[in-house]
Amino acid sequence: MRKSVRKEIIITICLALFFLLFLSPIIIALSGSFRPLKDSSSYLNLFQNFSLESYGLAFDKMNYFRSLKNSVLITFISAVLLLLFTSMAGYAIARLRGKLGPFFQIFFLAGMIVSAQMSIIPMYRIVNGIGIGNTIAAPIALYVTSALPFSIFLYTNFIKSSVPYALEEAATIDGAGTIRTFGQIVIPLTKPALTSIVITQGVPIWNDFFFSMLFLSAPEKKTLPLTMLNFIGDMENATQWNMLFAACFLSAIPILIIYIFLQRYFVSGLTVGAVKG
Amino acid sequence: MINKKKRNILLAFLIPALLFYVIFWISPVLMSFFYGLTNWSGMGDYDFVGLKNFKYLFQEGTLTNAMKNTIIYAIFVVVWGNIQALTLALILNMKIRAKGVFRTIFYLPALFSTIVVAFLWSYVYAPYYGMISEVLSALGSGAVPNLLGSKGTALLAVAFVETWKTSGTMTIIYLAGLQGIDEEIIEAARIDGCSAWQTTTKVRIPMLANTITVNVMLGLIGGFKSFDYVFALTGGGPGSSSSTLMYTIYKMAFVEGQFGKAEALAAFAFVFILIISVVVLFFMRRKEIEA
Repeated sequence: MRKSVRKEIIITICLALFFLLFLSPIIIALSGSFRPLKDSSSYLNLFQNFSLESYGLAFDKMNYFRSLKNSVLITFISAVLLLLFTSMAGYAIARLRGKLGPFFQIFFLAGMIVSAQMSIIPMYRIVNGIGIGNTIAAPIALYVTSALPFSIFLYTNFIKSSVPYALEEAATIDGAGTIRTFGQIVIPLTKPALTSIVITQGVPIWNDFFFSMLFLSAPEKKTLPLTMLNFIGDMENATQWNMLFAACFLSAIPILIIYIFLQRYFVSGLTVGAVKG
Repeated sequence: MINKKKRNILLAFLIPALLFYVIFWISPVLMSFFYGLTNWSGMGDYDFVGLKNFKYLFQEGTLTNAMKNTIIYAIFVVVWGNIQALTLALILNMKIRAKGVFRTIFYLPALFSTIVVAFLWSYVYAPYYGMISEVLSALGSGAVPNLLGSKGTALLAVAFVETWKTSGTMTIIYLAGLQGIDEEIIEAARIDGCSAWQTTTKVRIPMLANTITVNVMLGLIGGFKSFDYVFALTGGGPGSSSSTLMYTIYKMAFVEGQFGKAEALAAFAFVFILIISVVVLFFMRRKEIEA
């Protein structure tokens, strides 16, 4: 008994040391972000100073509340549309008889091989051609679209494995139409898959800078990750790092807070699609 | 009658997703393949040049270099990423009282934006004042490594950042796989005299075959599509020593105005990723059945 306690203590200490090293970039950055701008001593002197000067400067330079509002708006609309489109299409694919269902499943899945960088200029022209260039509709359209292949794949598989067809048939016999069956039986039963889609796709959408970089040039439309690009020039300048670190945390704080409160959804959400493969 | 009505409704359900997918995803790709056969610069007129772009890409070495870098990057991400995540998951799956804390913090890197992660790591790698340099000098070493600025190390230094960022996701997937293993099987192995090491290597890991497939595919596709960290950390340099496929395509199309050639490379990349993904998936599924 005592031996196993000692073993546990040793493992715990090893793990703690490992995570200290593993997360050291974050720890040092956190300590750096609280240093006054002029402090240029070694970053390895952790937490010896406390000042919000760097945060203040980064806050202004990022136009924080405006960028935050843009990020929230874009992520929220993208997630809602993604859930709507995915659940409708995924349900149709799972329940269409004959070869149509499997065909569309592979058709959408093939999109995972494509990367946006492969076809930016046609993408850019299509977006401008439709007349949504330089509006938040442009990145939203591409966030929804680029997330569809994986989301539809996950959702279709989830329906096939976890929504009993007999239940839907019973609803039909009771007189419920397809749309009502979908809304009142399928959607509630597929909540784990929908959570999973929000987590696996929503976090990358929130964090993305590529599509917003391509399509949003107006400063008043910039998102949080996009404002981080403004600091790229400062990387060359060793004296600006305190402010850079503060900007890093300002941009991460919203999602860190969400993670702390919804941690269990992150864990369950990430594993819904993966374990069944 | 009812079936036909239901079928029509289901087909209508497909329309929104299909519209977005075809307009914003499929048609740009098809247009790109078409432009790959032209000398279009991204603006103005263009001529058909047939397969000349491909010939150019081979002769200039652009294609070989981008392919080589992408393959090295992807292999590193798959191998190191999986070793790291599987080890972490096996340890976090042990019965330790403090594991709640560890299970909260190991996922932190996955939450940060790629651009933020790139900033953090450009500090870590920076010569003189960066973390690695400072630790080395604190240890009394006079070396000032410039990992991102040296041809030999830039690519792997960037790939390492990717494994750092994705470790959380891969580890969660492994943890779920481990928790899916029936404890009775582990118990049976123990009664049969297996040591802790043997139950891990001979029982737990083979039973994770499914999960390993998922993580290998995630790493592979992520590795082949690598763009963000190359963009933010090295800009493909020094020279073109860390230029991956996606970054090379982006740079040729957007920065150098060689859109036709960029799209020829994109077509090549598309076929390449498709073949590798199918082959690897097929191979892994066979291994799964054997296991």
